[in-house]
Amino acid sequence: MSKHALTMIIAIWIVSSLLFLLLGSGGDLDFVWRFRVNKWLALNFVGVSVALATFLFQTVSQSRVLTPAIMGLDSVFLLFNVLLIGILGGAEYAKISGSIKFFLQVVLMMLFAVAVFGLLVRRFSMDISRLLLIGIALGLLIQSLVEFFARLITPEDFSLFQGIAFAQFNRVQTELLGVVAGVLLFVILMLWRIYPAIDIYRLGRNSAINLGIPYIKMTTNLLMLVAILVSASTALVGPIFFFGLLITAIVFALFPTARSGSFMIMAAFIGAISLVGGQAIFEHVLGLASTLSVVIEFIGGLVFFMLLLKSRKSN
Amino acid sequence: MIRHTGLTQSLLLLLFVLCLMTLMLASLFIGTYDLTLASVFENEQASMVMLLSRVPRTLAVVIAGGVLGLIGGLSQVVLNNRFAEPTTIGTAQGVAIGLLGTHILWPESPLYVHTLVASGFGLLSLFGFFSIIRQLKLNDPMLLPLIGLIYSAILGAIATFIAFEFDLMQFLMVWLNGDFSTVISGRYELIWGAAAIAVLVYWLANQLNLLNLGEQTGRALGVPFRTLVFIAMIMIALSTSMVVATVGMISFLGLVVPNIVRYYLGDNLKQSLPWSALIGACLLLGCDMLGRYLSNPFELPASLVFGVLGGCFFIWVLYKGEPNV
Amino acid sequence: MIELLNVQHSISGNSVLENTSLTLTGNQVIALIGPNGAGKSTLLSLMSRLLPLQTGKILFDGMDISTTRSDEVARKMAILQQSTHFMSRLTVEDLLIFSRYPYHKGRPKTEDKTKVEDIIQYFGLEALKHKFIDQLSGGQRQIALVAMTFCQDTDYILLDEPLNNLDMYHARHLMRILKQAIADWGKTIVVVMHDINYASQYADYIVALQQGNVLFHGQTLEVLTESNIGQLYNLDVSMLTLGDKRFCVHF
Repeated sequence: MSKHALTMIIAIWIVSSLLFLLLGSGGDLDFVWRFRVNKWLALNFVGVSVALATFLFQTVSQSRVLTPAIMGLDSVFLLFNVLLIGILGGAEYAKISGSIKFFLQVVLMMLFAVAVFGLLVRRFSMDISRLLLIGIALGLLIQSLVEFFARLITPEDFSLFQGIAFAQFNRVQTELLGVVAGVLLFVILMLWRIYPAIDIYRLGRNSAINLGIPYIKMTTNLLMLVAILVSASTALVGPIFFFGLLITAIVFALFPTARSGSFMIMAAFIGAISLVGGQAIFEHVLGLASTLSVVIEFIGGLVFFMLLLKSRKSN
Repeated sequence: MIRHTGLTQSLLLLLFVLCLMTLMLASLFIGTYDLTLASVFENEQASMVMLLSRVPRTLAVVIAGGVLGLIGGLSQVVLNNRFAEPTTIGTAQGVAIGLLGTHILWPESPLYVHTLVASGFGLLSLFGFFSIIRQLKLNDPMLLPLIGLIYSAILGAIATFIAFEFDLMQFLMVWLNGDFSTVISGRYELIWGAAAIAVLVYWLANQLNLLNLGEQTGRALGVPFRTLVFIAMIMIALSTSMVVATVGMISFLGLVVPNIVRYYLGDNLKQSLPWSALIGACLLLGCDMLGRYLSNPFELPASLVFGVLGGCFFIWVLYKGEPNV
Repeated sequence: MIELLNVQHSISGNSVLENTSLTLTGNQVIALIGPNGAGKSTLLSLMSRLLPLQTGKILFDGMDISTTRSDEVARKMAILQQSTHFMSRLTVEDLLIFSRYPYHKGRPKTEDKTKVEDIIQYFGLEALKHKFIDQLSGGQRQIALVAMTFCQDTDYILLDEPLNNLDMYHARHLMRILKQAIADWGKTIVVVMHDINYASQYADYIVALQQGNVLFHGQTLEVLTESNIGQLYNLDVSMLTLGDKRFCVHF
């Protein structure tokens, strides 16, 4: 990846950020500061988290066609919330500090990812498809439990629950920004330390072990990072399924020979640009604040199938 | 694979049928309203509950369980993969989209129109999945359910979005969660249509068996492969839409039951289909009764009970399975 | 020296490799031969720690591969399996630099780059070094992958059926490079082979496996006899001598 490409991407990012922050504001900086900066930060964080989570997950699953959504982490997120709403009632639930909820969510998702997948990886490190299938089945099982509990809560609480069950890019939980920023920083530092090893990991299980990579340990670590990143983006805007696919597909198309380090940087920027620029267009120009997530997920879903067809045809 | 002699199999079949009959009888007497055999004949209200609610409900459960088990077995033969069934490959979700569409665009139209349109959408989604799978020469059988589940999730998300925008979430929830509590006489007869299709499938079992050969071998032997596949898909889509429209989707049933049957009897449809139907009916009835019994006076929908139990079973099978299975 | 002590392996209750103890001296080509399903690839996977040991120990110059850190083992021993498919798009040069990872851990130094250049020269890959792996022919790809294991600069190299899918030219080319490498660098190479004649020509030492058991092992000239080979493969064979080469006629 050349310096040229990096400069271009940063420039586009700056432009889309300016568009988002200033378009339609009439130059009122106070307005911008109070209403838009937080959202801008959140969109950046979500874009970066989803991009990195998808890249790492695709690395672990050795497939460009999958997304971390299939790990069932979002079911864990939903279960946690529906139980909380059910036990405490909607009013009390709304009173709990977002940061506490977030921490609990992160811990729960990490435990789930590590306990389940860490265990599974030990047994199925040579059969990743089976491992992922079990992950999906578990996610569906938890989804059943979520539906069960959703039936038990009151209709008002149910509406509240429904609200958080869908990704809404225009209603971001801005009070979590500080916490999420810290968590993201941690993840980025981790990735900075291990990114050369990720290149070797991507050579496949046998080559990686041959070159001295502790394969099982690294798989577990990567999955933990995925869990942290997914919980960060879910906490801010809700569950996201196919957006990450879109990002990694674009980066692959633009930079087919990029190493892990460059790839992650590009993916992070493109993720941020898509959300910030996309929301700028949808919210400020088109006036359709809530449809960005749907459009992005839909396009991501389409990309999924195109990738499927393309990848196998060339096999 | 355990081969039973003809006599043992017939005896076992008889045993299971008796078991089903017993369950059905028991099911007639479980519920919020207290019924005894005597009260049915003496009390007019009791006999109404029996005729309009209990009997139809029990029949609906048995038919749904039987049809889904049988159709699951058929799906697995058509797609040549032991994990295929209408809810894991997006057919049920496609049907839901069709139902939503008719509800929005032609809400006043008769039930058969709803069902036909829904079947059309189900057929489309099934066809779409089938085409995708055929293009990708999958050497790993685990990939089909993986892709199928993501495909189902995408279709499910589309359905959810439509439902959300048009405020039809209640309906969608009903279709996506098989629930027999609303079955009353006059509102469930459509499911008999599904039963009729299941019988048709069994009648065609010898021909459908040829699908087991796979396309290349089948073609070489002069089998009208494409036609057979097409017919099978229509039957899958139609019966799925009838079940979903009447009582809702029941995940995993078409996955779990045929696999149990296959373990003992292999892939001969003539033999395995009746068993899939029988065991499917028994299991679903058991789950429905459990759901009624456990949270009296509330009800746990049968699909939820089965979803949890069937899901656990599915995971257990995956976990314990041979690495190269 | 490679020592196998009481190594045994079962899969789902079936014994794939019976209790095996063997000592193999270094600085030679050792061929693992035997019929299909004999356990050759399993043995190689166990030796390379790609398969965790269930019982016993395997030592390379006294280094216990089960207890030593994986990156230390990576500097001692390298393996090339049969099917290697990479997710990322890599050039030959990229791969060779990656193979030095046990030494540079992601930050290649001058000595790594020098070593890569030397290997490119030795294996005749100058014309190919900037090409992507998927652009190479089967034979070129295999040579590049073997070069990669050599670039890892280990005393021991394990190769699982490296001659599969190679035409006569590339197969001979590869085997000659392997023999040369032993002479030049004192390496020990363990190869799984299914072609008895390549083993006969190029291997110094033979280990023959049949249904998980070591049927016979020893110096090639001593143990590759008609009766031994016949017993191993359940065939009548004849051995022909042509000049200084010995052939097994098994058709």
